[in-house]
Amino acid sequence: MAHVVYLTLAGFLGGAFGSMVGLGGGIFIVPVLVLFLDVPIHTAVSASLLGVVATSTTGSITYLRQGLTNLRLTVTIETALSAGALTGGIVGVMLDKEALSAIFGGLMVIVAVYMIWRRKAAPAPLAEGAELGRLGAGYVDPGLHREVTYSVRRLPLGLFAGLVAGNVSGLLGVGGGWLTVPTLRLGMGVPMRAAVATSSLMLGVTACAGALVYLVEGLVDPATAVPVVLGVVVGAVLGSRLAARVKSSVLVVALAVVLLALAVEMVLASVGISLR
Amino acid sequence: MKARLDRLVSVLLLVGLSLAIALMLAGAGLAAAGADGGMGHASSISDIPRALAGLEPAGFVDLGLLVLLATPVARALALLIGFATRRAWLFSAISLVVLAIVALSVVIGLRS
Repeated sequence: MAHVVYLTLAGFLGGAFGSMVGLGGGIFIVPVLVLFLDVPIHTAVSASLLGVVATSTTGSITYLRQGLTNLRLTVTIETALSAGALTGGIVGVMLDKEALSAIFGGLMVIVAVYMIWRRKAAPAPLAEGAELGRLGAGYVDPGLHREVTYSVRRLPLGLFAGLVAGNVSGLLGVGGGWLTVPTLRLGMGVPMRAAVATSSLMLGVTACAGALVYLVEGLVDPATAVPVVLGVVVGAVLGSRLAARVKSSVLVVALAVVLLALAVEMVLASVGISLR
Repeated sequence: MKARLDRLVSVLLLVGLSLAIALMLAGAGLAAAGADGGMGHASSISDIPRALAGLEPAGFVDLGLLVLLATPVARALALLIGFATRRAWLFSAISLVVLAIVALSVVIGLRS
């Protein structure tokens, strides 16, 4: 019984934090399950993928109601994200996994430091009557109590980031939010709240393809997956509601801290020290 | 128009998630009430209806997990239709591409 409570708690924390910063929560759930709860790696990964789907679905219900999610941008980046996940296996055969871990670990450090440095730099406000473009949108910011509109810049950069994020998620077992949120925020001019909400919705489709394969192959352990998913759902409800009460700059720092932790794990993995 | 599509997708996600959670909880409840207390697996997806009819926990849990995984796919399908009804053909086509890639991923994943 205690094991079930711990599994639910791991899911709760992953869901709460993941939904707050636009990640799936898998980067938290997998290490906790493997390191502290003695769950075999494949069982942990399959439970984590189901957890990512649950985080994405639960968080998105709240974000869509708040009008924060950019649906047009979601489907556009999703093409690259899902194509990246599809080709991840092919690239994985061609490249050395340790070298990739070092490269992406280094990239995460740069992204995290840059995010902290620019945490208070809001995207330039649109001029009165300016065109939003096909992908631009607006929402009422719950913290500022006013409408925020934005246009989307550098779409090719977003598609490239989606491709890389999808690819890495297939290769290294982490979600794509670690790269999509910073790219949307810093590279494409999407405000932090909209970036978190949009990334949150994207992750569900990418994770569900992988999770379905695990399920059909009988690699999902219901005794592990069900408590994790139930915990994730409760956590993601709380996290997505809490996100509206927290300043955007705090969300940026929280994401940067997660990125740094993940970067350390990846760099250690590149020299043969695995924390999972 | 945007708010309506947002609401539609939000309701769809809520219905899918609620159904999945209800099925998983039913499975967990049946397992807890059963003799061995285990949830187990239906032997295959086609075996789920038989397990459900026999009130086996595995049938409820597996169906719950399937519904959970089908929810994001249903969301992508809803966007395809939603954009099409708003004559946003470009985004409708993009949604179709996403669905095709996901289907391809599943097929390749199952074959490898």
